[in-house]
Amino acid sequence: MSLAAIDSEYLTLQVGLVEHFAAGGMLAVIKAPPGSGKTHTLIEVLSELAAGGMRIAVAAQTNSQADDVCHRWVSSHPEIRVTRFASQGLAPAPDFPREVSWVSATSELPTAAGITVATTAKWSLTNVTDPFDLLAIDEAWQMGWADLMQCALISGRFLMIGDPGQIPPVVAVDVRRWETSPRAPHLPAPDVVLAEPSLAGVCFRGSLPACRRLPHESVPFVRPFYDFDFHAYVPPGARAVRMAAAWAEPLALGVPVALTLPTPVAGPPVEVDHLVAAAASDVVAQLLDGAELRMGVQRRQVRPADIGVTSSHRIMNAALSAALGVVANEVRVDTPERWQGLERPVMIAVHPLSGVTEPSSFDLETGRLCVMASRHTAGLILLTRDHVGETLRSFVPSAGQAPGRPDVVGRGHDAHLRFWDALAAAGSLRAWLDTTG
Amino acid sequence: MAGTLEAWRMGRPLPRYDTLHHAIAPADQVLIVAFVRMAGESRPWAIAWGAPGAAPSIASVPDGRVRDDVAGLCAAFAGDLIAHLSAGGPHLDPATTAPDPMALHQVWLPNGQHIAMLHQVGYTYSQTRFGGANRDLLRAFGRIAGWMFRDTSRVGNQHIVDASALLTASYVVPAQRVRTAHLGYVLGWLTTDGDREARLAAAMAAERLTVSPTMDPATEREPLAGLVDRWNDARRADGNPAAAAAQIATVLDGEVRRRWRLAEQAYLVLTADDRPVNEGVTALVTESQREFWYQYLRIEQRHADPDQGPAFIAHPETDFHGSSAASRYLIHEAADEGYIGHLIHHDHALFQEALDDGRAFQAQVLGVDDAGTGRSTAPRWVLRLDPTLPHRLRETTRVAPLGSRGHEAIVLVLNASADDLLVTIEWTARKTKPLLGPLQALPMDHMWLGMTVRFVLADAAALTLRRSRRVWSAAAGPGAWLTHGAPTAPIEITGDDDRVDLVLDDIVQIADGVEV
Repeated sequence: MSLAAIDSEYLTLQVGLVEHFAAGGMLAVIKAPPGSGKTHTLIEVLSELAAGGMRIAVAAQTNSQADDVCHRWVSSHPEIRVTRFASQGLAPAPDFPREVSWVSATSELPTAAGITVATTAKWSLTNVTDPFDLLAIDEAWQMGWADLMQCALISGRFLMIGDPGQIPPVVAVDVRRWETSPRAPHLPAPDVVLAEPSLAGVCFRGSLPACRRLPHESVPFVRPFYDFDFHAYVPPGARAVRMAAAWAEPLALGVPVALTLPTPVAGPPVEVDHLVAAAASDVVAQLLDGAELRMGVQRRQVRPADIGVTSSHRIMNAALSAALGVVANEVRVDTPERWQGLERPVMIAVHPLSGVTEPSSFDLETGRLCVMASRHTAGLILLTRDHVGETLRSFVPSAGQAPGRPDVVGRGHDAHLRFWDALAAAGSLRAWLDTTG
Repeated sequence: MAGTLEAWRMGRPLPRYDTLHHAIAPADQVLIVAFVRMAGESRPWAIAWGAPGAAPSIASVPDGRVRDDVAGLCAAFAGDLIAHLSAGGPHLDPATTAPDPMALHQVWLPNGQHIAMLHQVGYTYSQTRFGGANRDLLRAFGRIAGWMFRDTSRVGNQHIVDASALLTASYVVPAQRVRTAHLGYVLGWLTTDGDREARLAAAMAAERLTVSPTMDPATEREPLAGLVDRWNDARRADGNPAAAAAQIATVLDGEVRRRWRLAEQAYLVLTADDRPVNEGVTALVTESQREFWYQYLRIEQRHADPDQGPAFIAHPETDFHGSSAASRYLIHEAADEGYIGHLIHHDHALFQEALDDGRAFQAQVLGVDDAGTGRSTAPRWVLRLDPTLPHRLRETTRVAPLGSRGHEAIVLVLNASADDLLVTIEWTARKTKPLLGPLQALPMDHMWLGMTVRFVLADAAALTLRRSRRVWSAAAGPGAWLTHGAPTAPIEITGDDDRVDLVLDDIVQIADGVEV
């Protein structure tokens, strides 16, 4: 599909959303693939609605996300009046835009048309005397249904936009009691809405048409994590990482590469895998030893700040940081949960099944792998023990879900397998020890 | 893992933590319960119940598939169970008096499978249309069993004790985790005198006998299957089934008594433990008693006195009503968030574990300042942390000083370098009260300069509780059409007679104005 056609789809969606709410629409749910410009879309749509006289509340999931939205609003639509509504204990960061009003008291909330940005947690405990015309929720798949319920006082109309492939809201308690509840409080709010047949008639449903972050050649690898189709916005061959090592050939084509280490006979190390950490350190060293980053027409050498590293376990991340040595000060190492919403030109990820030979439902939840596989703008390097393909092929998922609930484990297993098979089909599975010898 | 290896080296289980993290009620306030059921059946075949140190009451039926007989068995037990738990609650109404932690009455069961029997009982009886003269008692039995089952999934609950889980939470047993789920195995390690080999042998011997309500298939085949057939044949032929019934009762008595004894043994092990019960458990008991009042006793009073209005009956499967589901979920979340916060101030080993995991830290006070303006006070400290130790601090992280729960500060600034980590905090709660501990000084007192102070991450349990109430009040908001609307899913249940029926579901009750 041409870029013009994709741009046209974006425009059609934005126009559709504006018309829906301008005409009194009550509800919209928009699915967005990774790096598809959802916050940009949100800002464009809401700016037009605000310019038309609407008073809009925006819910972000963290304070840093809320601040980021304000920054972007000021730079793209300075004509719109934007207010940041924050807790009393929180002060604006030094670089927070002065054009945005910072208020902490409910009585200070603006009464005129414009945008007011706060976190979901803040909105959920705020009693407004004059409800907003619309509550727009960014990163909506990170918001549980119980959180949305508390926001019923904020507005009678809702716009939810987010990435359904990301990691679902954290659930710390035993939720078996509510697995079969038609309003399961722990599930992502948009999933509850989309599963309710009686809302189909009032809900505007759509999806953003393209992933703008990933190289064209990387997009097919993340599609298995989504139940809707989307295109690559970046043209073929536009982004890549070139380096001398033979194992890096796929990266020169914009394709991810998975470097495999032999699995010990006794099984892979469970949480901390020091050999994988050492391999990650070697990969970083090779990247910083003259690897070239190609971003369209721009070409330059890879710098430490271009690289991100991620693994599921905090303790493994500590081992990765230790293995990186002094470079760790400039290379961000974090869990996929903390990588959500962020990106780097080059990402190095420890496959979440590297230390797992008997996957549980937690291991097969696809959010972590999806986040890991969708943070790079030029190159993705996975590190893993070499059993993963065999582990996935020999695993028979059992349907442990409550009656009437989707087979999350089976779907997760299928998505994992398709991701792995796509790497194999692309010739991206490379033995790490063989290539460095 | 290190603890398990140390226990193996020592050849015996070792205490986990410095304090016990659960209330242990006096024997006369404890009812130990064990079940046995027929394979494939969800209802009990035999029940043992009684206080520790005394002979248990044991009742059984010849055939666990005969509905009316099982209902009689359950009715025999139900009265004692309801009376026992309710005896701890007459004074729990928070509107009239503060809950008395000493009034806690507990029910101990051998393991999670016995607790799951409570769910089956709740499902079977809470809305039963059968039972004849016992129908109301059986419904009450279903309701209390349903509440008991639901409360066991609330972290920090104190009324219903899973003996197996409590033992493994209290001791490090030198064995794989999967094996420590067997109550007999753990008790073999804990109660056998001698060296590692002797304890291990005792544990492995105990492990051969099942603790689950479902019996060993070999026992159920021989002699029970033949005896049950004989009992049924005699009954159908108008013969005398009493002899077969007596033999069945003897076998079941032995089976259910053994399970009951294991739970009793677990109780005795824990009461003999010389570690103190953590001081924070008092708060957990108070929370549990509030839950007991609001989720059970208050509703039972309405059942007993229709003048108070219709009484709510929780659905045994789930909370179909959205507000009910979200509110309960948030209450459980608050309990989970607050649990460690209650205990950690009174248990050095628990604090050390948090320190190793980055959920706690100790720091030297480098600066004390008051950033307040006018009459307001905003004490700020600059702390120096060891940058090589793990920590989970971020700006806006809320922390509490160890040993002084209630005081709270927020992290304002983190300044990290290769060999230093400076953290600025501002006191936000109880900032004009002296911190508990040897210094007894206000946060803004310069006596703190140079002192080493230990902190833990603060929990947001109080805020989460507020949010649980907000779920209900938000029903008045303009967005309630979406967030609080009734779902369209049909709610049906198949009865014992295979009739599909609409149950008395929670949505209908709440919509009709029944107070939850």
